[in-house]
Amino acid sequence: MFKFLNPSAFYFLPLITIPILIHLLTRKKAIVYFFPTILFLKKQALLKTRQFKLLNILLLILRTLIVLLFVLFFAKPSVVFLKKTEKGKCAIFLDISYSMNMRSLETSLFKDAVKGASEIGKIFGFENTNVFTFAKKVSFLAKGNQAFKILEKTTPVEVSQPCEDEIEKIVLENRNFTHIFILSDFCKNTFKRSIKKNPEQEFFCFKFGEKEKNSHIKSIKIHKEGISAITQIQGNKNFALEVYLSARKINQAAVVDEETFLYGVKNVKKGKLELSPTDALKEDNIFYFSLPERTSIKVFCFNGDYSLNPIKNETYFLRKIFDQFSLYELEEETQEKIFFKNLKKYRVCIFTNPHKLNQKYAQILRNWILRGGIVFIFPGERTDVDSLNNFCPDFLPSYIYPLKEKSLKGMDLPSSFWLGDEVRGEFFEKFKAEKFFPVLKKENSLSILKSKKEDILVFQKFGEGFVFLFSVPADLDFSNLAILSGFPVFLLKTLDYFLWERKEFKRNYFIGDVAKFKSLSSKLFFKGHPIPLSQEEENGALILKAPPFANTGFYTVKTKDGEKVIAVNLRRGSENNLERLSDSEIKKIFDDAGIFKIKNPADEIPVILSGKPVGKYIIILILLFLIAEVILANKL
Amino acid sequence: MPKNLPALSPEADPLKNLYLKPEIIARVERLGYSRRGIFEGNISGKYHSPFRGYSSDFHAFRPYTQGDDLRYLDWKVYGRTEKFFIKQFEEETNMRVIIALDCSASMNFPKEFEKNKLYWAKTLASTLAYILIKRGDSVGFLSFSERLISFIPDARGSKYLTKILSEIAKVESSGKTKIFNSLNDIGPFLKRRTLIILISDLLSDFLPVSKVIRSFLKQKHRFVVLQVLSSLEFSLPQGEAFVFVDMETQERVRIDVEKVRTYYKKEFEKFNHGIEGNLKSSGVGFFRFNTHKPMIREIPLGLIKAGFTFR
Repeated sequence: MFKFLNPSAFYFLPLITIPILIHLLTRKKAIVYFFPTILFLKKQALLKTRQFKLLNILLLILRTLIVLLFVLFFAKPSVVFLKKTEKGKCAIFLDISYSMNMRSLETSLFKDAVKGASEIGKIFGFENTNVFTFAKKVSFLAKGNQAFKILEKTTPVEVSQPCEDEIEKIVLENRNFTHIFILSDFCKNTFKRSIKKNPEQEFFCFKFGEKEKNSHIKSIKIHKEGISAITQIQGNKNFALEVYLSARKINQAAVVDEETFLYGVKNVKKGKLELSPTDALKEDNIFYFSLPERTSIKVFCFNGDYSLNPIKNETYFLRKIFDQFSLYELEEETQEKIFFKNLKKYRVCIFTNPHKLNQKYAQILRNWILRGGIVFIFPGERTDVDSLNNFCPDFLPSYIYPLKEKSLKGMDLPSSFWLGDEVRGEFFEKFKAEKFFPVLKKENSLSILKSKKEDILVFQKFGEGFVFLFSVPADLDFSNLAILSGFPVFLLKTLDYFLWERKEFKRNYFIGDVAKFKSLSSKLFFKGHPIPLSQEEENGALILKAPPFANTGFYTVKTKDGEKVIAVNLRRGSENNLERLSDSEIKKIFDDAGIFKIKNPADEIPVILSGKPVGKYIIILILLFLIAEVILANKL
Repeated sequence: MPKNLPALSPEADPLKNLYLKPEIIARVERLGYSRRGIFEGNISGKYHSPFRGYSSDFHAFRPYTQGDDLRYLDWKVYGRTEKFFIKQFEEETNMRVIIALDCSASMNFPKEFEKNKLYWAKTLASTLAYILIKRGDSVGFLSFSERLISFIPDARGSKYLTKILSEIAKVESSGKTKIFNSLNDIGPFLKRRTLIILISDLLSDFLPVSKVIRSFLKQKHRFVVLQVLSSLEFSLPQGEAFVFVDMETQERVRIDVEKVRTYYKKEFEKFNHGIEGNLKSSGVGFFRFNTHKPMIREIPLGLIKAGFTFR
């Protein structure tokens, strides 16, 4: 749509008649000439005459256009992108997800977006500008200037989560928001479905940033001998992992695989891992960690079907798993009597192919679990399910039926809260079983692994302890669970959580998480500055609650018992993949939206909202037309 | 000059004598006139007749055949050879001539009288009619445009000359040039060998014309084509914007002369070369008169070049 800043120039529009008049007045008067025959002239003459006429008309059009363009030039036209030029109130939805931290030269996408929002505010009037932020959720920041002051101090650290519902609600409820601006990098996970609007409203999507390759550290693991990090590398760059203790680099290794080990980093309690070189998102190349001192834990394992053939041995694969992770040691026992006698010395045990439980052993097990024992039960071909059902009805998470011959294929993604992104669905895709023990989950128990509709693993808290019941064995007798790539990770993550993280003081958080401290004397500091804690009641006891973590790095918690360190990281997820929504995808989400790629908000946004002057293009056109006119006039 | 011929002074009878130029006739007469070739006439005259007749000039012998006139048997030969031979004699005859004058609209160009093609054509026709009749030839006349307009069969004598000159004077330009039609029209009237003198600007499709001429030639008629053109037709007028009106069809074309001059000149020359080549290859006498040249020199010269000889 065009807007003219100097419409009075159109008074000169009648000037376009000048070339027409000149054309008419200077028309050559043809002499009528009687000639014996035009036989030899006709063909060529008609051709030339047609050309002549065409050139003349072209010349006339060109000259008229030149005059018209001159008039247009003085009328100062500009292209206006707003459909509703009357500016009412506007709503700005500003993306504060941490992918907006992406840097370009000295600025970041977020700074650009704030600048863009302030430009919108200037044009609509700050009093008419309502600023909202969105990432995890949508929040109203403030009106006009005040909002920009808050934004100046904001650092985008949150992870995007689709929040179409909230945006749609705000848009539909506030009909007076005539123009709705979405300022975002439009990463893939930002929006999923289309957002409705009232017919009188207009969406504007200002896209910041380009699609970038972004590599990052997903998680880390602590071993006896060192640290390993799971990384996701994009592109062909060579990366290295560096371990820093305070500001001192203590080790480094080249990243060649998904998991990289950094040896010689023993007894490290607090530090950071850095993936170098840094790329588009600098923040996710760093992983802060704070760890308690750990000693290796012994896992007591009852082997109900000992065999010299390692593959046939129930514990063969379990031993392989624990051999790799030195924080756990597997101690095996084949004698039931000795096993139950020594059980009290251990915190965790694994039952493979238990035969027949009697009342006495069931009671030992029950008491041990009640005191905080963790047990993993893998039934086998020799397992007497009736004795299990009869003697352990209370602590078994499900009723277990006799072995059933039915083939199972594939497994659903485990969705347990203690498993992070490391345990992915595809790790269990190749699951197969010829037989299994069907289980009937109890009310309080949780189904963790499922194949089709059959539970493969059910879990229950009993007293202070936990019981994990599998419906397939730990060897390859009739299931391939033991050799699936997800099984070791699942087992170790589960042990990590239930043996350490659940019980001890939580030291690793993500941005936006809220920390709670049981000790009322706790004080929280970030870089020496105290962070106010609020008192709250939880389960009948008073606790201290910290505000959501807004910065990455180390926080210090001071209690009577001493000082502990909390490491806060950016949450890892789809935010780290800087894949952008295409314009057509954005158009599907924001119906009929004007989509603009913004590189320089201070220059571009005023042009979009107030119009783009096209004077220079008109001058270029005039020049081109003049050249064409000269060429044509010479041809005539 | 034969008796009873019209006076040559224009003042005496402007209508009849406008196209008879005494100075031109005098020049032609001074040179003397004879057409090369053989013509078939209806009287014994100055020209060799192709018919072997019974005259005083011996031509050849031929063996006697039944029915031959015994008067022409050569007894001397018989005496020597004992074979009958008939003596053949060359018959002296006059010449049959038809002067065909194109009076299509295109002939009325340019407007300037002295250089007008029709004026020239009429002068040529009158001159030829005068000289030929004066020499005792049998002369006819026809004028044509799209079709035959007037036709006077060939005859001898001053009466005919008056008639022909009066007919020539009456000719006015109109219609399109359709030589083909007109020649076809006179075909049935030509019983004996005739010399047809075609005076025209030939501005029409010449291919059918050349075909008719060839068919006439096959019938032992003879042709002389006298093309009359104006210099203004060879090169277009000076200036830029013109509306050219076809004098025959009244068709109008707007032309920037400068843009088409070269093209036209090339095309026109090609056309004329085509005609000349075609006629000369058929043994037809041809000359192109330029009306912008002095008539007194051009007409005698043209007639010589067209194949007439003056003795």
